Amino acid sequence: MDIKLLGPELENVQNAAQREIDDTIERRKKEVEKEVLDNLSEIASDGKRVLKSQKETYEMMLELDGIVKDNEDLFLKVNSLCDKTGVSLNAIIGRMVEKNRELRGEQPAIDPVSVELPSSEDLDKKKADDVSLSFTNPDVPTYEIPRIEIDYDPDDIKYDWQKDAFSQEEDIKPVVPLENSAPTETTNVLPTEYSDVPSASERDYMIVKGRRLCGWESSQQRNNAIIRTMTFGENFEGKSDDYRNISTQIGNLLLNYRAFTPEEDNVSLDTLDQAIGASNTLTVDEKRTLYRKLNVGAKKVERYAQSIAR
Amino acid sequence: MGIDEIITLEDGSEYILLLSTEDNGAKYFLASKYVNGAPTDSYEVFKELVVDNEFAVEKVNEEALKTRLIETFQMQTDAMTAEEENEN
Repeated sequence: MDIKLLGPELENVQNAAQREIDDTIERRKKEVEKEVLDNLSEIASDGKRVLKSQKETYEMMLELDGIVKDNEDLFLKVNSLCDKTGVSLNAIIGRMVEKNRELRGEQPAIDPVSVELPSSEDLDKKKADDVSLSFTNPDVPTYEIPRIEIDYDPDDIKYDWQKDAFSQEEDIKPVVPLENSAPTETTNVLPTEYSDVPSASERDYMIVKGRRLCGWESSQQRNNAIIRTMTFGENFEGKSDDYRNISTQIGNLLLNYRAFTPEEDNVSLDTLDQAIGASNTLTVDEKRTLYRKLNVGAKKVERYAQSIAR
Repeated sequence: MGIDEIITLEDGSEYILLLSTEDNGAKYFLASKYVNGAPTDSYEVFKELVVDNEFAVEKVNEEALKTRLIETFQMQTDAMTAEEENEN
């Protein structure tokens, strides 16, 4: 059946249809807008960028770390941009790390570099002091302990059960018999020096004085330590102290990332946002180029980030 | 010596052995300096030695060898992370 609409009726239907179309478009726009707002943390242009401030901050740190590690020119560029904001990147990152520690009730970290360990010479001296014998009382006669010379292969010594003695025990004799020597107690004579082993300062190796198994809390913790070492420790050779310092601090920040929330430290986060905002001047392509150029590789940093985010 | 061991050297410093590999019959370790009960960013590549029946370590300073060893350690790390990714 054909329905013919004429005049005002046709106009009414057209208007109703148009309103419906407009309403639908408006509704859809609102839906999309809501979707975008609800998913602010979702991925942006390159499918990887996360918009939410904390995550963006975190990614920026990764980028900065890449810049620091890979390209000193760009590092200087970012640094100069940070200067324009009036904020020291170094100070901010350090402050954040310390603040997070304070919030968690931890003691400020001790810089490993500043930890003073006794030198090998000191230890050698201490060892020598420990074993040296000295008699200062004039009433006490002094003795020299005779050295024992063994002129046969120790492997040849056999214990004779019938004689209750070692087979070559008679061959053990003092090298220099001394007039005032104390009664020989061979079983108590211990070597006080190892002349055939050079001292620590004379050789290029170090004796291992103790070993114990590390009690990792989990295999994840162990893996993180390995990835961290390979990521942040690898290319430090020949870099300046500042370079090393910033990388270390960024590494510390990454380690603290889990415990870090914006609510805990609004001021520092805002300040940090200002500072790292400088790297927003880099285009996506520049950032991609940086990632490609990284010796250590953003992928590794990314993996590290993933591993600690789990 | 083996991985996951914390060794104390005669100067009092401690290192944790994270990875190991062999090269030309010698055993090498990637070790991280261990301070206040935790590994740090300071690392060394050590060669294992036995001197007078005592374990000893020598820092690897030869650039070519060190680079080769680090590449091997890197491969181990990559394999480890790839394995983790597969598990997840």
